Amino acid sequence: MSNSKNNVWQQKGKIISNGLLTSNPTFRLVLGMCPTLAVTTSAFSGLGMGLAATVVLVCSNALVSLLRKVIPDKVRIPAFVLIIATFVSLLQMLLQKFIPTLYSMLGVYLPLIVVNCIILARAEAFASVNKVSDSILDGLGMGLGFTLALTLLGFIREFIGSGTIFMGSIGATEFGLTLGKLPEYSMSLFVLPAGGFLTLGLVMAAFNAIYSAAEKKKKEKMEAIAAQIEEAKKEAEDFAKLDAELAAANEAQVNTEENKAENEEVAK
Amino acid sequence: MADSVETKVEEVTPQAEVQETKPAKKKDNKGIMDIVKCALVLVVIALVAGAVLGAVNMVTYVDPDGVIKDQVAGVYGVTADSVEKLSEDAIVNKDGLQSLVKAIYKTDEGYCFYSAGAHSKGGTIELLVYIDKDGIIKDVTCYSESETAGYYKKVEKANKDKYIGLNVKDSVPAMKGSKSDFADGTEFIDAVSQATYTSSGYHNAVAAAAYAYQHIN
Repeated sequence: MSNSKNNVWQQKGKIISNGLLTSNPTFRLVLGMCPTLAVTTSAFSGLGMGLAATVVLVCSNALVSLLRKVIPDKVRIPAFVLIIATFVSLLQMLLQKFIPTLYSMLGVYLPLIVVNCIILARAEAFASVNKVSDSILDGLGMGLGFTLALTLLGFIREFIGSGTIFMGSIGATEFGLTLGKLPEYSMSLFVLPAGGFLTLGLVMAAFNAIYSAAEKKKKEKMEAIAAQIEEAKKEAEDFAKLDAELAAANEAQVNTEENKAENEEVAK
Repeated sequence: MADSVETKVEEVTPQAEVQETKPAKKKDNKGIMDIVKCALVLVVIALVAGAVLGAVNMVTYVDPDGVIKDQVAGVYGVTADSVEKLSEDAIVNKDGLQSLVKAIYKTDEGYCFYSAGAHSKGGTIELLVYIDKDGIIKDVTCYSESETAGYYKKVEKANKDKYIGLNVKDSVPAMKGSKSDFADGTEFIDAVSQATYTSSGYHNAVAAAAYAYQHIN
């Protein structure tokens, strides 16, 4: 019972980690490059864009999964776009009202979430064929993976290009760090489009190198475990053989003793 | 061979024809039903989406004029009800310029100019320029900007204090070292290094407000 429960949790964890690492939409699948390059001029805007996309992903995945048996196959794409567009418009209105700074910062890329290929791809590939809870987890994993990537890129570009860390504002509250005279020596190239491509390429390479190394290590570990299991199996077989031989020897001894006793009786 | 075909054709009786058309009709009906179902599902989703969006819009609608009036009231220390938006006829923009004043708000203490400055890097910088009744710039705040991250702050930090306290009753300020719409006045403000275009946008917005102020009465 507890084993099956553990398995279910493992499966759920795998769905989330799939979006975060294994199939990270930015670094592994290279999806949604337009907002990735355009919005990541600061960590705050990267985080905002990522969270906005996550909210839309989770909500649209949930609704698409819920309506998967109602929506006819022929009109599934227009229906998905309609659902996604509704959530994006809702988000736009809420951001404009409550976080206008972020709303103006994201600009045209906020309504463009409607045609973000990550969201459409997850609706089509996952949510339309899986149950609601799994679809929500998939949306959460993919969204957090996207957010992580955008925030990381924004952080690096902002730090090198503007000399600040996480500058932004929500309402009247302003936050962020300016590191001494660093803004005067910042490399503006990194907040320009060219810097976006450079940063994305370098971070993607680093991410994939670390991921490959971790995968290799995991594979080696699995191989070592498999070899150990094989060895243990062999040992068990040897032991079984020995056991059989011992049993045979014992039996032979018992037989000999019985024969001896019989012979003695006959002799008497 | 031809004979056998002919016989086969002859063998088809009117009754058989009726039997053959029945499944075809059924198929047609099914096709129409499918189309109707598809349309119906899309219409229902669209209607529900429209209703939800309408409801949320009613709750979250922000009146841009109301927001500006609140800010003006805060700067001049008056109530928001006493802030009056002047008609578009009161706005005078310099001919042939891209920088322009979009709206003017009036209080007993002074004016607020909602001004957009051209020649910035990422579009236009929209500022609220507060000029009191004596022609002195009281404050300059940002309404919206889409400059490269950190650039606007850099320019605002370097130049805002140079504008505040400036009397613009008689002369429109100018800026040296940048592409400025207002190059005919006194040159006294430098563009911020590395952020020349953003400096221009900022300056042009203030200058457009000053020009409109001179022609308001």
